[in-house]
Amino acid sequence: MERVGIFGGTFDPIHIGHLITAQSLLEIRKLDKIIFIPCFISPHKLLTQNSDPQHRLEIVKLSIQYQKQFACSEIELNRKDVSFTIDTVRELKKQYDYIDLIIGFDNLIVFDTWKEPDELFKLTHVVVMKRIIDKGIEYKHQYYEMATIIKTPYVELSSSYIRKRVRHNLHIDFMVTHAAKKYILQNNLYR
Amino acid sequence: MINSTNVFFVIPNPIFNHVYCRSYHNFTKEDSSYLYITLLLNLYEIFSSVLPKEDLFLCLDNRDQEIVSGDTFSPFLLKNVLFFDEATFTNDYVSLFDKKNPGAKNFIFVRPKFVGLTTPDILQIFDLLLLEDNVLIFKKSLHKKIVLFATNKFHRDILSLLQKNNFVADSTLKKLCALDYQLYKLKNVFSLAHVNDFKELYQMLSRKENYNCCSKQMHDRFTHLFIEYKELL
Repeated sequence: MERVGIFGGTFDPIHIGHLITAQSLLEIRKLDKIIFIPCFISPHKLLTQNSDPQHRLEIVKLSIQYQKQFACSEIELNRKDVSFTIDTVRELKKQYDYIDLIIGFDNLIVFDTWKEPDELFKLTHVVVMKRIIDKGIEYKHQYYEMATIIKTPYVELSSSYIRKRVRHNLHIDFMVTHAAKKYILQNNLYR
Repeated sequence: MINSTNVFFVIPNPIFNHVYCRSYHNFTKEDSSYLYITLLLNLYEIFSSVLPKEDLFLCLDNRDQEIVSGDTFSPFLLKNVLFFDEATFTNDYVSLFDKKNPGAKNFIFVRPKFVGLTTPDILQIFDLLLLEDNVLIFKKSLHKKIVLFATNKFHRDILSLLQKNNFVADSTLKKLCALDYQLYKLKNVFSLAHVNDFKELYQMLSRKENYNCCSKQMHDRFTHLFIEYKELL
């Protein structure tokens, strides 16, 4: 049985922090594959003015091209509507029996506000990435104990920081893959 | 964490001073005042169960100043009751918050005409405020207005945008996206705007799952109004 992890996000753009974390999870969770799923509009990052979805998708594809255990799915982008994780999971369950749903620590905090959280636990193993900088939480809803919390490497880098650097004509070497950097500059993104 | 959070309850119309209090539907001015004060007291009580009163500020209309005395104000910390004129509420919300404790890192803004907030909701907000990223957390009413927002990095533009967009959630959030914050929308709450809302408030508070939205004392205050205006239920 193929064990896959699904890793959703805006990926605007995907950076080495995402890739390092994904590689770490692949090993710790003994997964066969991690599927990156760029979202169309994340319901939890309301109305964020994301870069064109096709650009984000292309940058993900370029960034993972040499790691054969990484894949990318257009499932949420193709839906062209608000993406709820449960809809994506139901679709992917037709293909995969075993799914790790990989989420950030911030998403665990608000997991009770997600659509059909109980169903997500039935269909997947919810794996939470906890970085060393993530503190404990005060409000432990019922899902807190059900999730698997994994300590992941912390790379102090964010997509917004990268966009800001591009906007200010600063280098983004070592923050994104070479191919991603080339694509961003060629397409004049984040200006 | 807790000591570094300031909460501002902002009520831009007089609610303590009956003479100027805006009537809720066909309520008398006294009962309208009682209703709005109850909504405020309820939220104040919930927040003060997790934060010291020193960190809770009330921003009121100047016209309420005339009656800052007696029992009505006893639940509040008087030194944290701030008064502003109408022009400030209309044009310059930002100046309200210059009064905040300079040591406070986190900031919660509340327009207290709603019910539905619980202590776990507040703890959830604190957990998000602890994140390393800059966060903006919202609660909106069922009427799609922002009634609470919290941030771990105060920026004057946030308040200006909210005010310019009259707290309408969709238009405000679209504009806030230009600022570098992670946005979190939490569960909606119930606000009182239209006459039918009173009946819905009654139904809501009658349901067992909402018992933790207010204390027995607050429930009794609401019940007093439900009895008084039973024709609306």
